Amino acid sequence: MPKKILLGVGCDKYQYLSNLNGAEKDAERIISELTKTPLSLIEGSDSILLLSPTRNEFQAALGALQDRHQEIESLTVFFAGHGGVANGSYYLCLSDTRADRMATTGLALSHIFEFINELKAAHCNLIIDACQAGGMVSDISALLKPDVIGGAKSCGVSIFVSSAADQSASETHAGGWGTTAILQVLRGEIDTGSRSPQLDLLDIGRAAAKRVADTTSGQQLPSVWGMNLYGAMPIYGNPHATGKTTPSLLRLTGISPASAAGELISSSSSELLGLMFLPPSDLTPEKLYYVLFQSTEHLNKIPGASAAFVEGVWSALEGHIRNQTNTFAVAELTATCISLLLQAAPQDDQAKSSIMRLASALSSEVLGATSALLVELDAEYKALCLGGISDFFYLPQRIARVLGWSSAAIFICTQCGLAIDQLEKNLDRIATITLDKYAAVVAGMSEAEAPFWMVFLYIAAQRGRSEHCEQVLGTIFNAFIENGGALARSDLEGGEVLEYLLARAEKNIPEMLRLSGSPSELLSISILFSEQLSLQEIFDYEMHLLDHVHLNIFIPNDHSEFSLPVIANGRNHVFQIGHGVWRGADLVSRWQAACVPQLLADSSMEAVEIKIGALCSSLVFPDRVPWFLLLNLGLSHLDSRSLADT
Amino acid sequence: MATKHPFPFDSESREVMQSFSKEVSRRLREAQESFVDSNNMQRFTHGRTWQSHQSHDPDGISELTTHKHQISVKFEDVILGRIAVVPNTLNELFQAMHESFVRNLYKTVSDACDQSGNVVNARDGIAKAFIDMLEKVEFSVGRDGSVSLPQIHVGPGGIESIKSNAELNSPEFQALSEEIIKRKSAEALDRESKRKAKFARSDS
Repeated sequence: MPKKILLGVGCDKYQYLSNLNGAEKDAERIISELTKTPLSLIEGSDSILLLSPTRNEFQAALGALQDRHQEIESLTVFFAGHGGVANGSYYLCLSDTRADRMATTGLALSHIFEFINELKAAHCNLIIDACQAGGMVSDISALLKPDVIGGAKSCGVSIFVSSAADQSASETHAGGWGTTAILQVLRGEIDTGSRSPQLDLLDIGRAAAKRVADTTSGQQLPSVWGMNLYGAMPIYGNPHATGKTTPSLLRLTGISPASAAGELISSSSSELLGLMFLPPSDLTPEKLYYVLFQSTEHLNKIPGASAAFVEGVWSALEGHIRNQTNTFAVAELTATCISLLLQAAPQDDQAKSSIMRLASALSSEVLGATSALLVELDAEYKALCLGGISDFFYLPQRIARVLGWSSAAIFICTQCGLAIDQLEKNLDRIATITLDKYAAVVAGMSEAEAPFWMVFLYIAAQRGRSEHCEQVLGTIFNAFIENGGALARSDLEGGEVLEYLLARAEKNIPEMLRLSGSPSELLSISILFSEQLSLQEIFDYEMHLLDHVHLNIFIPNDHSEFSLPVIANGRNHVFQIGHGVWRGADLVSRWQAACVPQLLADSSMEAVEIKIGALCSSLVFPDRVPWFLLLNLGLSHLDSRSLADT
Repeated sequence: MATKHPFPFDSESREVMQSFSKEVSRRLREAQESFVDSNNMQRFTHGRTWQSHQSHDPDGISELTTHKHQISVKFEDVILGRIAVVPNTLNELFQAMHESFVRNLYKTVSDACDQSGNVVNARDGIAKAFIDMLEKVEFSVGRDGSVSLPQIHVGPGGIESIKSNAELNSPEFQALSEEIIKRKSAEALDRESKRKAKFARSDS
């Protein structure tokens, strides 16, 4: 079995730089903690300690590791000493490093990654607790560019860098702030918040970074960065453990970086690592899905592999995506990860367990996002409106999404047996505010609203919020009537939005039809729900105004395929008002005759995880509607008139 | 691993080909509108099958037909700067796809007529066949409330023989066909009126 290796380097004695006091001691303490306690995961015999080495001695130690090990599960390199920046690169300062010749006498970070590349380590942890010796850098992460990290070609890289402005601010005789905080985490004095049995460097580093920032009043801000394609790669037991987590891909499946499957993952590593360097705003669910799908479609064949991979990526990206301005971004990331596991779920229990864990995290995210939104709305009810021309198009979709995600979280929690009280309160308050203050624009701009209104109406109907349902349904139905049945299609590109808005403002129906989504699933939703909520008389009375408009209900044969970009195996049920459908009951009749049997024939829907995954897929990719929700609502009290009778 | 090239302009090239595909789609859509009312054109993102619940066979399931045509651009044409290849290739793809569509459309109509028995025989003369055709075809009413007369699609040779056919140009034939058109138009309007009456409320 590949080993976990630890290389600890502490450099106090410098020939050309000022000496330090606690660096060697830091390296000794880290090695001791990581190898000699009951929670240690690294064997003492697999650790190497270097005290005040020269540049050549450090390189020789790395070279010896290459000679000794064919394959390594994880390599953890700890360095305490001086660090510096020259010509835009970061260098570790060894005992013979000169400040004026950093490039030739220091050890470049990129050089360390080149060593890692040849070591074939599934994961590399780099912990640097350094005082500045060379040029100052306020944010070390700015130096961790793809060309530096990419040299590692490792399946996972986690980095913790605590880089202080000067010696007095960073180092006490007991050691550096960064190292001290890491040791506090390892000893359980700082709670990471994780309840998994084991901790990886991201768990440890994030908690330690916060402590350092607090202790130094923000003078020292450690950087924590990581991407692990192999799932969680722990380096220490969790003193606060209570829960379970997915073990690493290597431990779970035996897929090593050197194996064919390992190389498959590594081949996508540059694209996956590239995700980490994208501006958070560019990390859209679509982009994430398509990049990650290239790996999961192969991993789905190996039990447990997709779960480890997807959870590893989720954990790596979650912190990065949290920097997005979109407060639902982490919820979208989580739902995207759930969607990625949907195909594996029917035959892989690990994927199912992973979906449930992520579903729980998703619900917490939505709760946080809706609570934060309510604070904003209480202060200013216009908080949902960002203003500008584009908001004529996007505001209704923003409202549909907020209410849809809130409702989806309630559905998920109900399926998982989790508490829904606060989610329900938040949903009620947001719905009341938006339906009151935004009544004119709450719905009916784009077909992309369909899955969000479906889940909102489903939850609202189940909870007896008929006044909310009536208002939403009425607004959607009126939008169809006023606009000749031509709402914007779900995949309308940003560049076409202006054309649609102009056409809608001018009531240019032919132009709107060109940009619309005929046949419409949103209209099918509103008509079916009107029957469910006994609003049929009102809707039927106006139905003639939608004469000739086409409706659609797309139902896949197998909902475990619901996250595919294009779902080939499924049927479009097409209807036309005035040609078979004159009243809502006509649509219900055909729904019961043709759609319900197709839904009931899908045995995959018996699993809760598939329902959750399918719902998440529809919210992430709103060109599909979770029609299966309607099965629970019955629609059975209606008369059984068939099309032939009418 | 992807083949490496100096300055490959990968993303730009993808955008050019996306524009190419969009232009072909635009031309196809325009051409198709001469055969199918744009109001009746539908767009599906998922699923290889569909069920037209409003049709005469609401339980019938239809399957999508794939139309494909391959185009190729020779290295020599690019190297020699034969820029006319660009519009020519565009036209070639459009024509091939359009012909495939039209062929499929006529085949679908033909299959539907065979299935329903709506077929006339020209054995007893073209005028008799024309009258039979008028009798068998069900006239429809457009969204504007006016009767849509049936369209006649014939090849270039066929149109000449129709123009020169004495029987078709006789006053008797004209009177008979006008009488049928008038009667069937009235029937269509009556059907449309009954159709609209099925709504809970109707403007008409």
